[in-house]
Amino acid sequence: MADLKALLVDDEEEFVTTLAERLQMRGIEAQAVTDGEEALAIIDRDPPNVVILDVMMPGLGGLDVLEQIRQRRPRIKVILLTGRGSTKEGIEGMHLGAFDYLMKPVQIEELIAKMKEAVGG
Amino acid sequence: MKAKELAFMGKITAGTTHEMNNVLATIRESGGLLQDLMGLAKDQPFPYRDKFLKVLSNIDDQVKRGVELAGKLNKFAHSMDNPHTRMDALTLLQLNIFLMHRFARLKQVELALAPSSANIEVALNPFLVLLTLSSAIDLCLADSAAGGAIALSCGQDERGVFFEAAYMGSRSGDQAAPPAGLEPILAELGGSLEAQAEPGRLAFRLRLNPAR
Repeated sequence: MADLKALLVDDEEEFVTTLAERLQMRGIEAQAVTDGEEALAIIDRDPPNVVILDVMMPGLGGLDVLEQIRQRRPRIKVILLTGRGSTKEGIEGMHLGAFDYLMKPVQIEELIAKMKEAVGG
Repeated sequence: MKAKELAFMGKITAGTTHEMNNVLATIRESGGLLQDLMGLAKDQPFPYRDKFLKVLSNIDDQVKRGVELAGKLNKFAHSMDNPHTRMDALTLLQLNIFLMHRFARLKQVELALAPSSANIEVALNPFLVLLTLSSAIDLCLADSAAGGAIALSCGQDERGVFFEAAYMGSRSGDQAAPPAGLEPILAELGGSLEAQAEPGRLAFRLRLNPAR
């Protein structure tokens, strides 16, 4: 299985930077950004193998970012983070090519297992 | 309430619960980071280690509680989306229990699903059914003298589908009348609300139009 190299995209800065720090403590290369445009710039420059992507973001929303990733770097696996009660966006994301979706707040062990499944599969 | 007002309430409530989940997610990660750091320093002396770990565990328990509350509130918000929805009766009753649980607890009345309740899929206006049943629960709580229990159920008979809120326990009164002011809501639901009273029991049965 390839080593995990993750890009975390969420407009909640405190949440996404803390999550990245926790993944790094577990030996997973993880970078955090807070908007979709910045995420796409990184994906073009230094692509990860998995993206953890919040669906609801101001500006370029998660599903728009997903579509761009699928066009530019189709081998990158995308795991969406949706709010509880927002399964509709998760399902829509799967139709757009997301690997899967998880509901926030997410248990880190569950997230890591899903990332390994995405990259290893 | 008019449709526009309801849609506004629903939209704002749903949006706010989404924000609440973001807050809970941040709290979970921050608490988790502290647990991780405690784990890294486990071989170093730290006088309050057990206390810290206990408190961090409590924080995560409260996050789980918050997530459940936000989820149920989100469901309630979405009950205002569509006045003609098909849904499981049990799902609606469980949501009603969540919404009214605190008021029942303050009166020391148990509020639960009746074991005999049927799980029927029914076409209805979920918000108006919740409003009507909650009004009935309010009357049961006002009537209760001390303790007791209210059982919510759904059933079907020759007259169609019905929802029931039935209080069993010590009553402070002996009369029963349906909650006042519900006539326009019942008209919109196409249903009726029947009250039934006897010593130690007060029940309200909401009947929906048999054609539903």
